[in-house]
Amino acid sequence: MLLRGIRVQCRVVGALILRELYARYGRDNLGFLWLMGEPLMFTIGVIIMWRILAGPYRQNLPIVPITMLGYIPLLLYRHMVNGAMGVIRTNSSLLFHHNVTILDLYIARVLTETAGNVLAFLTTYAMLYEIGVVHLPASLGLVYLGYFYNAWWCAAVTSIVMPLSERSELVEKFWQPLSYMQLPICGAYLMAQWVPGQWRQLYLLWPSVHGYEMIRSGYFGATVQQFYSQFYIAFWCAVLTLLGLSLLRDSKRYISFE
Amino acid sequence: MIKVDRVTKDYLTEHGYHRALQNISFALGRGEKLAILGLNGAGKSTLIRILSGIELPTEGSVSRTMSLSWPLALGGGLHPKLTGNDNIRFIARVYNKPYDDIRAFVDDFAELGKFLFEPLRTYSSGMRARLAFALSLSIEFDCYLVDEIIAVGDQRFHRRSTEELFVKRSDRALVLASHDQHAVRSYCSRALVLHRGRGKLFEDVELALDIYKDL
Repeated sequence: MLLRGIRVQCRVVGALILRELYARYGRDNLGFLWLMGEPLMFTIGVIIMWRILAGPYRQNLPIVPITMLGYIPLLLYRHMVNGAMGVIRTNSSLLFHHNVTILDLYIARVLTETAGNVLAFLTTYAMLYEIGVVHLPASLGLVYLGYFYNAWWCAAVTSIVMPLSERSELVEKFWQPLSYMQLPICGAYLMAQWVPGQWRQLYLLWPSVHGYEMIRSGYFGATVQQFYSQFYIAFWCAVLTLLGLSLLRDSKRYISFE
Repeated sequence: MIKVDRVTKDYLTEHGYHRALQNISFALGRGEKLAILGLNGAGKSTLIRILSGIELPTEGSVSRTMSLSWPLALGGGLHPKLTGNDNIRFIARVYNKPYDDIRAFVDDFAELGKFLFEPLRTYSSGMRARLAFALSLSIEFDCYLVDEIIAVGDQRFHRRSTEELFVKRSDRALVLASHDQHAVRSYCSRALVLHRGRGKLFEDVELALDIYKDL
């Protein structure tokens, strides 16, 4: 019974992912490549900008790897979370099919965004490695682990924002400024070792910092100080995911159908 | 069997709660055909969505022991940005049916021609109705929930849907929300008249139509 349920869910999620790709990128042969093309273009643009603007300061700062390792995981957050607002409403016609649940919409969204982002990360990495501005990571496992925790963090926040945005338009209005305000402290650009001692503990309270720190520690290895705690970010992700799943289950009551 | 037990539905509007349905109860067995009559806004579509399980009642319950189609209405169930063919693929995957079979049936029934490869938003309402109807017929449900969609089609669509739904699948149950008196009279054996959220069930369809005309 449970096994059958899981099989149905996998099939439905697969159908939703394909549908999403067709709807977003059309059926042209390579349309789906945009899934990684978008983040790729963005990252390269930012790196070029930063190289020009940073000018004289960039000698002793490995700006390219730091941008790549911070910016692309951050893109996942932006795409997954911001794009999740109103997703249930706009896809409500799919809920007409009793096999399709709000949880399926959520899972499909998390998987699609993560897959596209990981592809973008790997492609960008390969390209930047080819031109010799980044090296191979000191610990590949730690980079993967950090990426996993970052994706889980994004998925956990999505599981809360996605159902809440159906309850009130205020959520959407407040989310954007809040989202921008957390940018400096999210961990994408600021390495914990740059933060002065007494502030560092405060900085490390924000869970997503630990994911970025893991990715950077994995890349730079022993040349940087390590401050992350796997347990800490896992704890917060688990708490938010549990809360989010119950909100998702509850959100059916808040949607109005056409 | 579908059993609707004291279903009430409230919606939160700008002006507080609006009671769309109040204390509706009835049962529908295999092969039974029920019409839902009522003015615009009487709660017909809401009731059909609650029957299908898309929306939950505020109070009361619905139990189902047969498979129900999704509500066949003008909106809903299909994706306007996708082509007809991609919608067919999606439905085939979701209901785990072979794409080729469904495609063959839809090709024959809906007669969309080259529009099959155009996005749904370019379709006329008649074309959408034909596609939605063909898809649900090809999945084979025990009970079809039809929300006004038959009235949209032309003569040919009427003739063919009658053939498919009432001749070839006469053993299936049907819930038909419609203003089309002819359809109600010829297909349904009972009628539920909805008025301002309240419902009354009639075994005599003629009587129900008379009352509906006087609303």
